[in-house]
Amino acid sequence: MSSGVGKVTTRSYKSGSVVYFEGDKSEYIYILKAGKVLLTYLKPETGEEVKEHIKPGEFFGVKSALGRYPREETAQTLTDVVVLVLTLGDFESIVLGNIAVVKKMLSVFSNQLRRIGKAQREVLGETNVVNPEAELFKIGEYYFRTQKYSQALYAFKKYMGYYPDGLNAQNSMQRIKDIQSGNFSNELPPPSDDFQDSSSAANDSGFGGFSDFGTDSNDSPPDMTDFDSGFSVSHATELSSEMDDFLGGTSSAGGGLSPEDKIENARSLFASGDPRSAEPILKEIIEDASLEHGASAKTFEEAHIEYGKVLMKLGRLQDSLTAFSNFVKKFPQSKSAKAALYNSGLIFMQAGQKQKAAAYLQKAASMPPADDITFDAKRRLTQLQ
Amino acid sequence: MLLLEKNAMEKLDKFSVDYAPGEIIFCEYEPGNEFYFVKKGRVSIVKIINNREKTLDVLEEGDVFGEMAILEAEPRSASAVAMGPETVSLLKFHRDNFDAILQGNPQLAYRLLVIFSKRIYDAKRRLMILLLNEPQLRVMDVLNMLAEAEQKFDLDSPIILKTNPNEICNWAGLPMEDTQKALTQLANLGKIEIQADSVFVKNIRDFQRLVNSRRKQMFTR
Repeated sequence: MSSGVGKVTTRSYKSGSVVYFEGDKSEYIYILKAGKVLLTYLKPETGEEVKEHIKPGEFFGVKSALGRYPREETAQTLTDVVVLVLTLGDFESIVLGNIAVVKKMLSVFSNQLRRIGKAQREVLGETNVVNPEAELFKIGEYYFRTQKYSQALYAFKKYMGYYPDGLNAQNSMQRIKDIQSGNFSNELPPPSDDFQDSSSAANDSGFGGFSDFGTDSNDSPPDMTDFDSGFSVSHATELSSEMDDFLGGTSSAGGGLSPEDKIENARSLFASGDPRSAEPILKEIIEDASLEHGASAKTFEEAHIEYGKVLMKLGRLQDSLTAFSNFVKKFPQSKSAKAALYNSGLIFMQAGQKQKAAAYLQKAASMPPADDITFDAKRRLTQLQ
Repeated sequence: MLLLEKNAMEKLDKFSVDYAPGEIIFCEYEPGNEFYFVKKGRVSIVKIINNREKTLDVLEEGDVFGEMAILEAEPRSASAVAMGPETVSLLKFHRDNFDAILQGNPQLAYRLLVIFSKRIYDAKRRLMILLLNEPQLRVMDVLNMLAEAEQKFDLDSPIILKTNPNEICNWAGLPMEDTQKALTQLANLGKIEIQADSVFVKNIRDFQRLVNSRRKQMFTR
């Protein structure tokens, strides 16, 4: 069955064969040369079976071989199949000669790690979005209180470096002076408000032209009555493509990422302050109507809301409002409908349309569960009054 | 552990930074733009939880940390602190130089792939533990995980796991009290013996079977 081609072994399998079973220990990595291979595994959170198709040119069995742990999936052939069988040494030499492949794998790996981390935090109930600015200050305070002054100094100095105009800047400065002058008993004023203005970028970008925005007859929040009831928590954790799912072998560089990877990339870009690059990625996902009813339906849905947020950050408020409104119409049952309404409220707030802003915010605030959005929406409402 | 070859290491010397014992390398919630490779010494990963500093991990020569910064500037999820008694030497890589670093050091790139593979497995394994809802099952599964990680163990015989209640409690995502309670119960049943820095497990296969069957039940109800 095996024949050596150069250094690497080629192996053929009949349709319906198993290349390896879940739980097998092996150091081989495969590249599919011809045919179709199906990977199956159980999703840890739900026990449901996940299927992943491998196409010619793609690797499989990489992580378990590299990490030297048992296979986490079963690989079977759906057609007659030819694979290249690589030892770790073969794989290493391929990789050393082709950094583009490594980079792509690293990016897929780090996205997977992030997804698993997210799932872990959900299980542990640590999902609250925190404000890193306020938290960094609190770390400094912790070390100050426990008299670890050099650590406290580090945190406060970093705070001043990152957030020179932050809400805790004065207090941080005070602490730095206290520590440097050996005054360790100073009481600070009450902790500052850690209110996050998620739309500050748009605030800066001149807002004159929006006074007429939304003055059409569509005054009330869209179709909200529909989701007063039945707001079930159907928020499945993103952990779908947990496999050795990077694509494209040694040649293709950009394409072939799964929608899950794409949305993670877009989120990363957005989080690191680059909404402009995130925008086309999200657009691509939401324009792919084939995703709506497949395994990536959840991603498809989430991409819509992310897209709205990105547009908002870019200052394209009218487009953003349209995106949110479409989202609510399209996915009235979504857990994120609340976020869409909240953000719509923010947009109206920025446009100076207080009444509409209040209507949207009130709606968002009234939706279960009581979470960060509820809290923020209530704060915004107080602000409006 | 996972050291690079000597000449690969020398090429990276310009990225070397030293930290005195106790010095913070980065702090929880700080934006993360660099990742690090431990060249010499030990680094502790700590997090402040309920007003107490908790050690999550101790890293040694050859380990990588802060690797989530490779792709993005997410806030750090924990702090990294240089441990004593000697100076800690690290290689520090900024995300912006990452391409160039990989290009010039394919060995490091390969090493990162290996490290990520292991991290993903560990993270998934931890998730599986966390999804168990009874404290005692979680504690058992932490012991399973520690046993599985040691290639040299014969799991059909009694084994001694190098661990302590603190580590078990971190992995199990449980309060210390619950962890202690579960461990004591298992000890009272004669299943394990707890020492200061190790746990003797009489029959780890029992634990594996029990956890696996519970895991299946979780989804079939």
